[in-house]
Amino acid sequence: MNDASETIADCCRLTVARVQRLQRRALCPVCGTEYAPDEATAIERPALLPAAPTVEAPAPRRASRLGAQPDARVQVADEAKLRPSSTAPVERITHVEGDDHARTRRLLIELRPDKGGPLGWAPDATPPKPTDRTDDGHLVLGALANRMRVQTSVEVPSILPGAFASRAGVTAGTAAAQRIAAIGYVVPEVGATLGWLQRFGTLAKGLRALYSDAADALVPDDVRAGWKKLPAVVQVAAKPGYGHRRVTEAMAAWWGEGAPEADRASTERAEIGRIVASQTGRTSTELDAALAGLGARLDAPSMRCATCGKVHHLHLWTAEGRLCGVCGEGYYAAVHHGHPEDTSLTPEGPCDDLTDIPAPEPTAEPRPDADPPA
Amino acid sequence: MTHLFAEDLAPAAGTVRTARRWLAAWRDLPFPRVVQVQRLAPDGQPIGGVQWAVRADDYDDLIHGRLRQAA
Repeated sequence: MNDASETIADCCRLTVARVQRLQRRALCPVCGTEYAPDEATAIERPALLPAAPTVEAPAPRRASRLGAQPDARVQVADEAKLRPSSTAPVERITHVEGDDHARTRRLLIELRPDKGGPLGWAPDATPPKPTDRTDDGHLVLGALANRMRVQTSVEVPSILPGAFASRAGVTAGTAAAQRIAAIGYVVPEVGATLGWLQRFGTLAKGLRALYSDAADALVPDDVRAGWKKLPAVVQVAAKPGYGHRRVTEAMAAWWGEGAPEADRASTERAEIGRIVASQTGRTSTELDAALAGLGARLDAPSMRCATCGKVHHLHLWTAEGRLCGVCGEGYYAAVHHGHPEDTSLTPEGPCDDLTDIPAPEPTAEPRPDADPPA
Repeated sequence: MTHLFAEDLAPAAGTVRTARRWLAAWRDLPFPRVVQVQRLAPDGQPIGGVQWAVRADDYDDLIHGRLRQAA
């Protein structure tokens, strides 16, 4: 009768299954076909329910990721996305930053306090981030209002426009620029290094590349000519070594580091001395004595004026250079002549009538912290 | 500091390994002078062994392009 499962009508499925299970002859109640036990056994067991969707067996768990196919729903770690905890310990150890690297990054950050500002300075040379746009380039709500200030009334504002004018020009970037200028006034080479680092210094290519770039930009011509005379195996060390030396000197000057005798030309103290002198009207000799009492000695090179014959200490000079409005001669700090109230000083260039003289002997008063003589 | 070890040259060289290569290449040259120096602990006590080092004044001449002929 029925010799194949595909010939079984849908109505006979239940009947065939019953015959196969009970081994009894039965009739299909719909079509009336009769099924014997031997016939029904020859028929493939019919499926009474719809077939379940095929489920792939889960892959066996493996100890290694090699050869595993990444699931599209899961972000698989590869070489480029490995977490630090996934890297081998030896690899991590080899990437630990050195002290020079950290100090150079700190210096670059301090030289560029307005990172994210219009200049976009950053130690890693990341592009500037506009403050009025989102990451996808859309204008932030209110950005246009921040750019334009429209006067819509004539009433007097509660805060007058000039209320904070005295602080308007003093930003962190201005302070850094003034500090670089002050250092460059005392030690021009270090000032040039700091200025170059502020403008062009980057760690994007590594520390050694920074040293080489600094040396390329800052090396004098005679030193460069001397490098070319060196043997090749020595020459490779000259440029990064020179850059390293210049950057190290700049860091020491910026943070006032070094041996105690090296801070005699400390620009910080020079600046403090200049401010104190201009505010108190004390002469340079009095100021030296006061500083010696505090243990702060200023051995900055002093100069003698060929016009008046008096000594000018470098830390009492103004960085810009001024012409005394009272005597009209020379190139003096106002305090030297005792005219602190004089406001008619005009900026001028350096006076040519100044000659070097030895620094004053600071041994008139022993330092309080100095060891007693044996 | 009268001598500079490979660790002192490492910032300029990039790695200590490169600094050691520099010192190894300079050993046969009359300038800069590379010598063996006793290894010292931070407190100044010798801890045994020696280490290659370049004279600090020679290295200073080197980076400033001053080629000094051997005496």
